[in-house]
Amino acid sequence: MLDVLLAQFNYIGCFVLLFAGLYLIITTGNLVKKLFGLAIFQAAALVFFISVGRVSDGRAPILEKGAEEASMALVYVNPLPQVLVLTAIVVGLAVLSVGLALVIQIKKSYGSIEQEDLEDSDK
Amino acid sequence: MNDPTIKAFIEHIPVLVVALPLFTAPILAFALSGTAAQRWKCWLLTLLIISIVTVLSGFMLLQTIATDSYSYFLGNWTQPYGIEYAITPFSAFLMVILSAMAFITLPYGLVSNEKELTASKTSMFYAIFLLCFGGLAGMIMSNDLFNIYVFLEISSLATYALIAMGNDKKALKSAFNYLIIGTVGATLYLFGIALLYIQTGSLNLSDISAIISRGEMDKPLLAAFALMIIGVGVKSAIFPLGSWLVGAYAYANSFFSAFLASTSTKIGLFLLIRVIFLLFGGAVSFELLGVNEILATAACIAMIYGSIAAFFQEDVKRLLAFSSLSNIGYIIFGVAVLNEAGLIGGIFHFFAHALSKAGLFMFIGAAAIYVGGTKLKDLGGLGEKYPSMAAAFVILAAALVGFPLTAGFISKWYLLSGAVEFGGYVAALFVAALCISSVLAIAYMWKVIEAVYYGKPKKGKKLPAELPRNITQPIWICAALGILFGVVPGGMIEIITKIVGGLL
Repeated sequence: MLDVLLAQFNYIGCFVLLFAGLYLIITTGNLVKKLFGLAIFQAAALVFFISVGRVSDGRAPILEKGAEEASMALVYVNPLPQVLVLTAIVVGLAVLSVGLALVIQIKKSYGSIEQEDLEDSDK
Repeated sequence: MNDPTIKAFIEHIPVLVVALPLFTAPILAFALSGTAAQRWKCWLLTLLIISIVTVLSGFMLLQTIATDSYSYFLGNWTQPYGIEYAITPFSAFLMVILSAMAFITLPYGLVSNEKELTASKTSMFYAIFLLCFGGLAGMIMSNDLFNIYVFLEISSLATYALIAMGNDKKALKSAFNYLIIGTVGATLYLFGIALLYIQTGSLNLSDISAIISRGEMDKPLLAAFALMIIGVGVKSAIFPLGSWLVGAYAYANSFFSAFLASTSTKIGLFLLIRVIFLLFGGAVSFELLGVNEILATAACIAMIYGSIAAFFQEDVKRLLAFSSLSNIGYIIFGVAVLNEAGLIGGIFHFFAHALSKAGLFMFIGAAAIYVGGTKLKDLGGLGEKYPSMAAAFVILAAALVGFPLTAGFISKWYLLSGAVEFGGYVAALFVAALCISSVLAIAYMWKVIEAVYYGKPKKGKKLPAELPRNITQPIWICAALGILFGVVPGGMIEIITKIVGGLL
C-alpha cells in the first residue's frame, strides 16, 4: 500500500494542492486570499504537468556538441511539458495581476475587500 | 489569382485573422493622451482591422464551402509537431459570426463609448477589445489543444478587464467573480489536456482523436473528457456553470455587453461541440458516457430557470442576461440529441440568438446612455419618442421569442424536429421545456414592450429629438437580418447542413 502511494507521490501532491486551492477559493471571503487560492489551484495543474514529463535518470534535453553518435544511449526528459508549463506560468501571472488590479479598484470603490461587505453595500 | 503574391496572401489568411487584431492591440495602447482626434483614430483603426478580418473570414467561408476543409501549419511544422489551424466550414462560419457581430456593433461603440468611458481610457478600451477579439478568433481557428487554452485565457483576461470598465461599481465585482470562475474552469481544462497528453503524447485535436479511436476509452481519458467538458462549459455558460454570465452582461458597458452577449458564449459552445464530436467522437461521448442525457437535462433546466428568473427582473439588462442563459439551453439541447435536425437547429440558433441579443442589448444600452437607467420604469415614453427604434426593438423581441418569419422560429423548428426524431422521455421533457420557456419568453419580452410603449415617461429628463444614426442603424441592421434569415433561411441552412455533415 505504502509502495503504491510512494510511487505516485506526485499525483497525491498535486491533488493536495488542488483541493487546498479550491478550499481556499470557496471558503474565504477575502478577495486577496481567494486569488491566492486560485494561484495554488493553478500551481497544482502545473506540478501535475511537469511531473509526468520526467523520465527516470533523464537529463536535460539539450543536445551537446559531438554527442550525436552517443545520443542513442542518453535518456532525456520530455521537454514539451516544460515548454507548456512555462507558457501556463505566464498565463497564471497575468490572471493574478488582473485579479489584484481588480481588487485594488474594488477596495477604492467599495472600501472593503471582504465579500460580505460587498454584498451588503449592494443591497 | 495566379499572381504569387496574392497566392501567398490567400495561403496565410487563417493566421492573419488571428494575428492582425492581436498585433494591432499594442499600437492602440500607446495612444494614451486621449484627445478627441486620437480616440477617433483608435476607433477607426479598430474598425479597419475588424472589417479586414470580416472580409477575410467571409472569403474563408466561401472557400471551404466551395472546396473543402484544409489545414494551415504555423511555421510549416506539420502535424503533430507544430500548431495546426483547421479551416473547416464550421470554424469559418464562426469567424464570420464573430467578426460580423463586431463589425455591426463597433459603429454603435463609437457613440456609446464616448458617453460611457473616461477619455484617457478609451484607447486602452479598444486595445483590450482587439485582444479579446484576437483571443476569440484564435480559439476558433486553432486545432491545438494547448494553443486553444492560451487563446481562451487571452480572451477571458481581456473580457474581465472590459467588464470591469463598466459604469457601475458592481461591474468590478462581476468581473472579479467571472475571473475566479473562469480561471478555475480554464485550469480544469488544462488538467484535461495534461491527462490527454499523458495518454496519447499529442496535443493536436485531430491527432489525439485518431489515437483515441484506435484504443480503448480508459479511465484517464474519461477523466480528461469530464474535465474538458466542465472547463469549456464555464466559458459557454452551460446551466450550473453559468452564474458569472448575469453579472457580466448586466454591468458591462453598452457596447461591450452587446458584443459579449452575441459572441463569447457561442465560441465556448463551438469548443464544446468540437470536444464532444471531433475529439472524442459522438458515439463515444453519447453511447459510452451518456453525456447527452446529462446535457439535455441541464439544457431543459436552463431553459425554464432562465426564463422564470428573467420574468422577475426589474432591470432589463439582467432580464436579457437570464434570457441568454435559457437560449444557451436551446443550443445545448441541439447538441445533445445527436441528430442532423437538432444540430442544425442548435447551430442556426448560434447566429439567430447572436443577432437578436446584440440588437436588444444595443437598444437597452441606448436607454442607459440617454435616459440614464436600464430599469423597466426608465423605458417609459421611448416608444413615442423614437418610434423607429422601438419598432426595431419589437422585431428583435419577436425574433428572440421565435415568432414565425424570424430567425428564432427557424432554429426552434429544427430543434423540435430533432427532439421528435430522438424520441423517448428526453424529447418529451424538451418539448415541454421549450413550450414553457417560449411562453415565458413572450411574457418577459411583453413586459419590456409594455414599458417601452405604455410606461410613463421619466420626469425631468430631456431626451434628444433624434438619436445619432450610429445608435439606431446597428439596431435596425440586427432586426433586418433577423427577419431576412427568418424569411429566406435556405442558403444558411445549406451551409449549416454542410457543417453538421462534418461533425456527425
